[in-house]
Amino acid sequence: MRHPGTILTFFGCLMPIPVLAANVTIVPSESTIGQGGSATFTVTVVPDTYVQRVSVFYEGESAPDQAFTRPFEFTHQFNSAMQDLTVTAVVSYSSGAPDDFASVDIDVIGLTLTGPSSPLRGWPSGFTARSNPTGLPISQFNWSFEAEGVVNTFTDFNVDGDDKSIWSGKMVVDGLLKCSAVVGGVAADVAMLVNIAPRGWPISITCAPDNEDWGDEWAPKLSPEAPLGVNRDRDSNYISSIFVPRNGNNFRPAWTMASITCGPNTGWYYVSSCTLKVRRETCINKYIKTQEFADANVNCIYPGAAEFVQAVYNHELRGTPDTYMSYEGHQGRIELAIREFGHDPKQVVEGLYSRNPLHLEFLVDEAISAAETQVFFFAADEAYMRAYAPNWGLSEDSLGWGSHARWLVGWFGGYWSDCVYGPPAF
Amino acid sequence: MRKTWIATYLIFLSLTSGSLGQVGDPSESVATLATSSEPKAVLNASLKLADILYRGDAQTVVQTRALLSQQLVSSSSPLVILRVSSVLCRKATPEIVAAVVQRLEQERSEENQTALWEGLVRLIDRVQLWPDTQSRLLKLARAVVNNRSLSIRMVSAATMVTAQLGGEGFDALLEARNKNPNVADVFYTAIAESSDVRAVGLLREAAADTRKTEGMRIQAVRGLGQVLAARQEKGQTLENRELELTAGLLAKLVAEAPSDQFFSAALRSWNRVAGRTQLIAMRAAVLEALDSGRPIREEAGLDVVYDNESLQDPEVINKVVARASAARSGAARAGAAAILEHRLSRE
Repeated sequence: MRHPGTILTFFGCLMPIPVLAANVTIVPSESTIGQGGSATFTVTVVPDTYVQRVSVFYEGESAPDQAFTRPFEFTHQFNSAMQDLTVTAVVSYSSGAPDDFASVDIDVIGLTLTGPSSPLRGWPSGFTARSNPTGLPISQFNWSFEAEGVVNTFTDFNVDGDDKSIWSGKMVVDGLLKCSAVVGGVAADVAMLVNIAPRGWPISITCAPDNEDWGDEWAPKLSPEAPLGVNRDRDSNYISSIFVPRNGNNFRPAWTMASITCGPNTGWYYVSSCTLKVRRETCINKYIKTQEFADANVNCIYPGAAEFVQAVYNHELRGTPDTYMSYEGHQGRIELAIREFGHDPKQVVEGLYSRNPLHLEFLVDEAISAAETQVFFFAADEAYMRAYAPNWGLSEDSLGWGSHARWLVGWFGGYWSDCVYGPPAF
Repeated sequence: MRKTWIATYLIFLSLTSGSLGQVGDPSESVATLATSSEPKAVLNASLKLADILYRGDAQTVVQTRALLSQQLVSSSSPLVILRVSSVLCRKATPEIVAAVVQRLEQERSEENQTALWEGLVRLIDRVQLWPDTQSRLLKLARAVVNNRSLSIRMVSAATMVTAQLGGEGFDALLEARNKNPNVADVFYTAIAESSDVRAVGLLREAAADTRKTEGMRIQAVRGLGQVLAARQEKGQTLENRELELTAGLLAKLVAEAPSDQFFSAALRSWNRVAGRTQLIAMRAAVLEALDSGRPIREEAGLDVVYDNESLQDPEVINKVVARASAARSGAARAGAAAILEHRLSRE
């Protein structure tokens, strides 16, 4: 039988029937197979004298299975669904006789699962399971989604009797989505790893430089340690409060929580929105801007009083010259810690979730506090600025280098000292 | 094929430590907190410990607290002191605070003292202190807030702690603000968080006092919103008359704000204090802020819309949508986006 396809067409496509060739037959162990399942094909050659090789080709695949000795049995896994998938055996002979052929059709049936594998967190997503090939009615779909050891399930009894089922809802947690159903009498299942895409929430960092009058005229005179400048939270003035809005140590005003009420992530709580930000200001002691201070220090400060004020300004802000994420200024160091060193708490809380709302609150507060500790400590550290920064270093070309006078309290009021004092605290 | 899936899934699970990590042995996380300089490792350790403190069995919680307390009283690193305080703060105990106070009495390093004060700001927030601890802490705090030669950072932290030490702490701050100018830096913020009812009158007075610097007034204005929130958090209410006076003042300050920053602070606080009767006036102020074209006002307007769902009518939301793409400041755009995201999460 040199043209087996003719007979196959004659018998139709739905019933795979072994082709009774004159000398070659191929018989499958199953006529309907679940996608991903296997079937064994037995090829019989009568007579089998001079059989050199039996090759079996599968429609849609390029590599055949081959055997050189009896029995000619081939077990094959079918990963792609197809109705009337043709399997063809080709027998080659060592005698030089022409090849013989035999074919059989089988059905490979399964499910397809479509939907976003990387949905944006908190946005509605729909996942569709459908018979493969399409059009095969399914009476029940069994869905599951497993994340962090929690399994959500959904049974769709599919009352309209069509070939598909949809499970949809907002997605917030990575996990494994699965669906199983009986399709054409065969159990089929399909799965998809879902990795949630973050929403991209970079925190906003602002700073109002030299924002307001600050300090008291008498303070530098009476207190040698009076600070010259400060970088602090803009409204509360508290240096350590890096992230706002907040109620004291509680960051609840900065974010909202939502729970998922339908779909694969039902029952999970997540951070649905967040207004966390950094809102700083720098202030310079107003006294060092006065003419009196300039006059008193005219011979003290290198290169001059105006540069001394500039040095304080740069120290509180972004170093010299003004450089985004500079190591040499407090604001620059805040930017550096957040943008470069991974301490952006808004990015972290974006991806937090829990089954328990109180637990989520705890985690969010913890994440923000942890970041705040890191950012604050790094931003407040002046060791680098003193050692390396041009705005306040120890070398002669540093701004503010040298020494300056202090108002010393004497018996009859006060007086300016010699130029013997180095820069006090900022 | 099934095996492939299982293997993939196991790899996937191992890669996603996620927010619900297994509650287990805290030693490793405490060690990471005490030694690591790797931000992600520190954050993960911190979240893991939070998880344990929240979800662990009694024995594990006790063990974790003990390990953290040990770090708190023995570490010579200011960063570790701050990190540990941050982790412990929501589950601190009177014993832990007592141990920190004892260390503070003996600590000589100014850096460590500062870190301990800053840690205490967090640690004592939700703890009922033992009377002996409270009196020793008050004594230490008085010494710091009255000392003008100490760093502004330490004085600020001690001021915040003192405000939380009840009526005596409040009195100590009133006394110290006349002696040490560095206390003034956070005085109004501190008393606002004290939840002492006397703070309201002082804050109103300062907010209205045009002789004070704008920075002081802004701090007081912000404090008026804060004091109410703090009292609500502790289950305390304010008399209606006090509320009306405060809301009335804040409405006036919004209208007469001398600067954008002042307007911004006043609008936010007003939103926290105002009742429904002021909703129309509040809405008008918010619309004005959103239309102002001035980033700080826009940002404040958006923050208020975010907080106050009663203001989220179609006209306001249309303006929010426009701000989400057209606002000049990144903070305003983020604020607008947050409102829209919040609305989406409710739909």
